[in-house]
Amino acid sequence: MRALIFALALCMSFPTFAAERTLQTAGSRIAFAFKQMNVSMDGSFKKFSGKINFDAAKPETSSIEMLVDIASISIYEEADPEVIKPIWLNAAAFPQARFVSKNVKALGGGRYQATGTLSIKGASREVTVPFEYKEQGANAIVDGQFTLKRGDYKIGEGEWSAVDIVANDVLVKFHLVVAPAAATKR
Amino acid sequence: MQSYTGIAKTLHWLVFALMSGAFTVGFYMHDLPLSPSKLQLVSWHKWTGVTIFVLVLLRLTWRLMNPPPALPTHMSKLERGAAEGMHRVLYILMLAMPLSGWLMSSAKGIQTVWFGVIPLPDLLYKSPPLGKALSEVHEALGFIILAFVAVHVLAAFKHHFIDRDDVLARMVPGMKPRSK
Repeated sequence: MRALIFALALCMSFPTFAAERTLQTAGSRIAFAFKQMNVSMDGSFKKFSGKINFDAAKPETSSIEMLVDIASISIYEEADPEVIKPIWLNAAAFPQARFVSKNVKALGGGRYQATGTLSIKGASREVTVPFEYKEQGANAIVDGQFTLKRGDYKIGEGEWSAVDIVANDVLVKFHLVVAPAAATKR
Repeated sequence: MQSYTGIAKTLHWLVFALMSGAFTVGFYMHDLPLSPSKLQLVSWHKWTGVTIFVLVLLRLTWRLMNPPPALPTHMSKLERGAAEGMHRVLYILMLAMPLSGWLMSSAKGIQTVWFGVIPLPDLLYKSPPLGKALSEVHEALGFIILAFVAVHVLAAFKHHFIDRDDVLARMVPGMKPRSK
């Protein structure tokens, strides 16, 4: 009986925590852009997932985890089989890129920034990701972008490590549709 | 016999040199594995192609303003028609070749930036199957051009060595017309 009351109390107290919400693949997009011999190249990842505990009123209680399936990369036909090779992203050894953050703060005007750890190809770096968060019907829309240096993660080794042909800067852009907590199946 | 203008000659031989370069690089780079040097070659190939396209438009403009010298009187109506048709086809091919490369790049989702400075508009939306089809068109055009250029060269030699007229001399800088 005591256990039951305790469980009930726990359930009732649960909404005070930021509810965990799951990323909806439909409508969400994780893309990137870089320069190749001064030509802008665009790419994207087709498979990714995420868990977002975010309360716009209390951003400091947030936790974010994003996982990106490296092999789902798409740039252009000839490049796609190349960039998953060990010299680039080594999808076989490091199938996922991961971003985790428990440090989110409000910047005002619906804008926030998440500081966390981005791990790609076995290398981890602290990154700060600014984003905009808005409720849209039952869903939440998260938009943002940040720049990473491919050299920090050894993306492109050997002859590719020179940045005169393929630039070092990679702009990561995301548009995430986050489903409401109630619809989240565990 | 009248000669082509100096500008017409310069443009003709410049386009010939660039076409030879673009063809050689295109043929060589085709099967290379992806590497920084391949990307470099591909860029040079594209820049050369765009340059040829612009120069051919210049040539056509110049040709309209300065019509080529008259063909030798010994040529029959059929030969004149063949020469005229041949030149039209060559001009069409010289424009179609870079155009197909540009479209192919667009369809593959890789913009063409002339000399890495001037971005050309992407004429097509990214579509890998269309890109593949256009790369076959681009490749086929290469061999068609090679065949037409061969006929063009053989015809020039025929004029020079068999007909013994000035058709070749009037396009070659410094070559004197035969005195008749």
